[in-house]
Amino acid sequence: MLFNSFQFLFFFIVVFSLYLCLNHKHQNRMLLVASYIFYGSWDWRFLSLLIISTLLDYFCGLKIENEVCPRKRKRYLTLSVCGNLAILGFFKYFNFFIGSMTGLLGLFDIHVNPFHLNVLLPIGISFYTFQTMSYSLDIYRGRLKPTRKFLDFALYVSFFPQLVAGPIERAKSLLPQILGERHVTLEKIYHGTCLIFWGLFQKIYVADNLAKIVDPTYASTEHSGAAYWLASYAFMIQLYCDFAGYSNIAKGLGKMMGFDIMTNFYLPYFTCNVRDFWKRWHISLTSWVRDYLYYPLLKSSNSNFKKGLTVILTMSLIGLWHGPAWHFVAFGFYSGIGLIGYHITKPYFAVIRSKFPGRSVLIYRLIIGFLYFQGLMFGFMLFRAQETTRALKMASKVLFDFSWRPLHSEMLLALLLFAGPMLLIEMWQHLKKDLDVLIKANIWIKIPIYIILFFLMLIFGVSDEKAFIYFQF
Amino acid sequence: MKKLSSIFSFKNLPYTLIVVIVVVFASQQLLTRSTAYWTYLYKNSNPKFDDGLRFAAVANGIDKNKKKALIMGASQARENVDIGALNNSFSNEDITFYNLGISQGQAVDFFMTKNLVMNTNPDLIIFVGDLNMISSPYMFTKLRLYFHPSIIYQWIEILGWRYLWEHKKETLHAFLGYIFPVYQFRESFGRILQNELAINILNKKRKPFKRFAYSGMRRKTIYEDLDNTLQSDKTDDIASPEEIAMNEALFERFIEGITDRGIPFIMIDAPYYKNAKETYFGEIYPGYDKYINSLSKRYNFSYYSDADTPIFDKEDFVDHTHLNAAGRRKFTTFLTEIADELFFDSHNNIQD
Repeated sequence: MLFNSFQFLFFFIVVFSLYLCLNHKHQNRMLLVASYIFYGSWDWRFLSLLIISTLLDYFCGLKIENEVCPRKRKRYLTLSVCGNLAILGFFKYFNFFIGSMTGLLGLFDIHVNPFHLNVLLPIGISFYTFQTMSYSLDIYRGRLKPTRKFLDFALYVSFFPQLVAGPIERAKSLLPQILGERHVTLEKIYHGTCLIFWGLFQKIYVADNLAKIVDPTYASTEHSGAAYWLASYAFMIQLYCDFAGYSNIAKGLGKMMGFDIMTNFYLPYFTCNVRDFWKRWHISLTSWVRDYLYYPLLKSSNSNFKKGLTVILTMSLIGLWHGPAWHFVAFGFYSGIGLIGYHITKPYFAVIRSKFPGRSVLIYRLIIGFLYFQGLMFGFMLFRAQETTRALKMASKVLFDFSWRPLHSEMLLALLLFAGPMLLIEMWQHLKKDLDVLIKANIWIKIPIYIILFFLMLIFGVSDEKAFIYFQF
Repeated sequence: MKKLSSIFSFKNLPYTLIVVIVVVFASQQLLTRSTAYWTYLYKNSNPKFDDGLRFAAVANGIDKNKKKALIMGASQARENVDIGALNNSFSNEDITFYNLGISQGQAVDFFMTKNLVMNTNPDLIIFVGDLNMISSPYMFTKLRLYFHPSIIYQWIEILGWRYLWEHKKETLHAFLGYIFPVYQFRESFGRILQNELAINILNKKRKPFKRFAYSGMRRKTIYEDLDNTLQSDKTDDIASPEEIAMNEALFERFIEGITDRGIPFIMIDAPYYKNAKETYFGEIYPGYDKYINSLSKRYNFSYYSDADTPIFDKEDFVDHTHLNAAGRRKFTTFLTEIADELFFDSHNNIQD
């Protein structure tokens, strides 16, 4: 049941109507049932994993809290983390590890006939396992009290707006909203509707249309460098709008029901340094990895070498989180190198920047911005190309075989047509430092904008109900 | 209900949302009433991809007060008839011919577009019929392009709720297109707008207006291909008996709507490449012929079956079902003779 489908529209109308008529306790029960129906609509068998993960962390959470002995507390935490990682590893990474192992043995002339699992990847598994793990981890660290209300906890794990593609909500933020009274107001419904509208625009107008540029270009390695250059830029925006669109719809759905779901993207392409980019991109995952992996691994070490290694490791794991393939690891690794490179070169760039006095700093910014986006683009090439060697071949074409043909002008025009309106709105959000700038704008400004966006969606919006890219992660 | 009181308050109604919806809806309704709008779209459309839009553009752009004849039917009506030649032939009669052929047009489409056609106030309708319109299962991909809500009642009444449920997605999209005309022809609009941008920004050359989709498709091996591809092009996609019964009922209602208003109606079997017709419809054609014959008697219209139409050779076809320029000339001449004999002669006689 995709957010961009009629099926979901009817589902939500029913859920929201019931929600308005029920009291708090029954709202939560109804939302739990609705969430299970929502998740089961993909494959009811996946529900068992969701329930196992819920039971595991509910039980571990209570045990961690009740145990006084640190060793026992750690044991229950290990049970929670290993249990979740085992589910994730088995369903998502088993074949990848077996395949990689076989490949490695093949290098030493050892040939084995590996066993491969023939299972479907349960949708959203990477999101809800990380969400439930954070619950046990926070209790272990004393940052959260476990809830004894199992059904409310089950709703925290399975809350349908953010279940299958995040944001990965922390229990500290979402659980109190589930346990406490919520208020539905007309303002919240309106705000939620605007967020849903904007999310749908990002998905069906921007992302799904850019896919028409990206998919055919990336299907072959025989295009010219200009085509890969344009397709890679299109992919950067497609991926962003696909995911940010989903997050906005999730946030809007939550808002309508009185929930505050976290912001998962904060204008990631309106910054010119890689460190800021990762602070603004998939915020719920990067902050999760920072809090539960990066800091614990780093402990209190001040060694630059250790910091560098930790960055590479955590970024590579972020890459692997996206999918069981080496090109995702390469994407993470590349991003890690980028972050280290940023920290090393930062003082030198500061010196260069000081050579551009007054308004000429704009030239510096343009050059740096261009180089930065080129670098970012090569990273996303690794992400999209499905094989590292293919990505390298495409990148080499961008660098050494950049021939511009009339067809590329048309591609560029399409890229501007589909990405332009979104980028203009985001520029406005960036200048005002406010994501809700359109909602808060003067009525005479926002009405024409919404009319244009509505028409663009009606005419160009892709109605094939294309799945969100991050569902596969 | 206390906590809900705020959402039922009119004090803070989201006026932006309401205004946006109203403007988007009203502006489209206004646009569809403008002839300039339809003319622009028609001139910039492509017969191969924008069939639905062309149909709506022609039907909405027709001057109701002038004398007119409509050529209707499936894609053969569009491809096989030279409207320009017909208009030249009858330039003295003060009548204009319009082509309203629907690519892969089926009984459901003709039933749904019945009101739009009748609103043009036609003086004559020549229908180029094709057996597929009755015998094939409905192609839901084109439902949005010709949709009218009245079909829903027919489906429920004749085929039951289940049929509607199985096609709920297409029906919902079609309904959305019915409310928002821009959505109805979104693919065509998108193509035209993108093309317009390329012409204005990239100085791309505007493509000349095309009346026929398959002109210029002729290959050297076409005549060999016609026979070689007979089996591979054959589809066994025959509608269920219930669907065929529904198609027959819908087509009958379409004809009933025309003849009840006293509009002269002529039906002609579309030319088919002989071997193709035998391969595809050899067994079912006699039943279709009988059905149309019975309709022609009941509703008193002239029907020209396969046996009454000129013989078309291999050299007249561009594929199994569409004629090339030479074939089109032959078929248009035949239509001219029929129209002249059945309509204009009799009209002139009455006037005399």
